[in-house]
Amino acid sequence: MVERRDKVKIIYDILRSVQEKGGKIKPTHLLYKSNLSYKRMQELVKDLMEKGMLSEEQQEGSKMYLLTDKGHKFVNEYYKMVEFIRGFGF
Amino acid sequence: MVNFLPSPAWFYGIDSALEFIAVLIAFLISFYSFHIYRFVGQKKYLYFSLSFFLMGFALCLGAVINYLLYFHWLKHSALYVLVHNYLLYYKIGFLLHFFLHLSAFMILIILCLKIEDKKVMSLLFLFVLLAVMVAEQNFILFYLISFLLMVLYILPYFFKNCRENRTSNTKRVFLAFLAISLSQLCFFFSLWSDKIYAVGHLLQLVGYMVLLVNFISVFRK
Repeated sequence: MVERRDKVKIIYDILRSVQEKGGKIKPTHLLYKSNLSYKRMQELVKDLMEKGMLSEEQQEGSKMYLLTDKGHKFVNEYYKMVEFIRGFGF
Repeated sequence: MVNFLPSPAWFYGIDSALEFIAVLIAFLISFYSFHIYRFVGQKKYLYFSLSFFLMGFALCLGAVINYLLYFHWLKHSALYVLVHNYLLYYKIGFLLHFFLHLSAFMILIILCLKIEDKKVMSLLFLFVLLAVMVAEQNFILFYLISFLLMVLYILPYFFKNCRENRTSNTKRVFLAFLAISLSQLCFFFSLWSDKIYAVGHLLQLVGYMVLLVNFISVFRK
């Protein structure tokens, strides 16, 4: 049975995918790597851009998502956050 | 806690100092939970942060009132008894402390029981107001109510979490809340012996210290 990812894990997976691609990724690659529907991915990317963890840029005529410093910080802190949260069961 | 209870003379001021340590730990957990909320945006982390903020604020208020009572008001008791003002300040401070502490527990209960219905939430906060009114008549009941809330609703959740996820973190969180629950029971029984009052404070500190150890262990990995 496939384990259901919570929102924190999905956010981590998205940002981690961008980080693994050197801090910038094309929307199609992100869609493939994040394992989400297009609509869900768009919602989350918009949310992450509002939170300042991702930014959008046009590079050589195609759209790219860029990982910001805040996004890098989240990826690095993710396991600490998860461990803290799990201790309380939330 | 606010000391309307008989505290041993050797413990005057120590209780406030112990509470200030707990205040710092509660604010630290609140701050970090808020940090998670800012990253993730899920309201449950905001509520969790708010719960510990209220706990810290309630403890801070209790510590300040105790300190003032021991080292200021009691020294000038003749004047203050004459005008009877200190009793009023004391009572208002205590009721506010009580309201904040119970609200903090209630938010934790909302999280533990995964309550999402706003009407049920409002009902729970109505209970907090009623409990404050009951405590206004008999202060000692506050500790019994908070003990029961913890033992019946909060502790079982952390125990279940501890059994389902057998990690040192979940065990520490359960033990911390067990110690804090027992401290409330000690405060309830402290009318019968001032030593129990001191034990209650020590247990409360142990609870918060275990939460601090848990917090540090997360960051050391």
